[in-house]
Amino acid sequence: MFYDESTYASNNFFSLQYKDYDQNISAKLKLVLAVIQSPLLNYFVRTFACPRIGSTFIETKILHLLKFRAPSDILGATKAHLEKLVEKRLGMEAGAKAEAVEREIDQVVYGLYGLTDQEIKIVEGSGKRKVSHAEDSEQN
Amino acid sequence: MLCLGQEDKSHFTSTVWAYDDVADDVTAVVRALDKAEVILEEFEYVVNLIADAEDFSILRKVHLHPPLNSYMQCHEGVHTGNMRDVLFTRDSKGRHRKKLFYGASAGDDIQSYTSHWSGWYVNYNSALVDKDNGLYASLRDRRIFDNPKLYITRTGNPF
Repeated sequence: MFYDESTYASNNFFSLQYKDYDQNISAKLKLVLAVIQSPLLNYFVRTFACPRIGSTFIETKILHLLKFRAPSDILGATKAHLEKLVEKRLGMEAGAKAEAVEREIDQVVYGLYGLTDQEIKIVEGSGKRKVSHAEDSEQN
Repeated sequence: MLCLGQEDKSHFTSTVWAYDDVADDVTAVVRALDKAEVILEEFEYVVNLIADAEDFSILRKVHLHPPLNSYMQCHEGVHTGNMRDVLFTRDSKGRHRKKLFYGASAGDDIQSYTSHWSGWYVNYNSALVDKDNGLYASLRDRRIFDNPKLYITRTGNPF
């Protein structure tokens, strides 16, 4: 998922925009990007919208994505902090430093949802062991 | 995962096979939760039997916000139909040419947050789509592309 100003795209991509085209301004979309790029969306899709376990591949579908829920407006100090982090990330190439900034962004996003430390661990896949039939078979 | 709906029987078959040995435990967990909270129309009544009270606590917090489909829209990109070689080109000459993200397999450097264009263009000219001569393609509404937007790859996300 990435931000773009005015490049066209083939149908290898979906676009995500505000229904009201006048709201499709850079600052607002970048905040949406921060939210949907976080592991919470991945968790939501894999746990509820299209339940799967392990590393099973799920093709991105508009249907799944649009079921996710996110703040329609982010305000105040949180907004300013998130904007600063996203701009920082957009100015970086992929790598360890960029990943560190992404983790900072994720923490702010978790705060928007009021997730506890334990819930964050679950969202990030380390909070509890999800039962896998295949794993059980290997162990038995 | 147990599909209670009628439309997705393939899930039903595969999930019963996958969780047969843990079914008693997980159904007990689901019974302990409020059915109205677990069996939801928004997920076509598909229930993840491995999800437990902690997962549904997280879902409650997600539900405090509006669904994306209430204020956002998604669209596919340009569909070339039977005109791919006409519409997608590396030739920049022509007033209808627009920079195009074709895809990672076509050379674009697609990353999280930001990506790099590799030199493809779309010949964005609806007059080329001559349906009378059997040509078809869907160029989409140009507002999708001319405005800032987020792009999501259809096959590159780890859902």
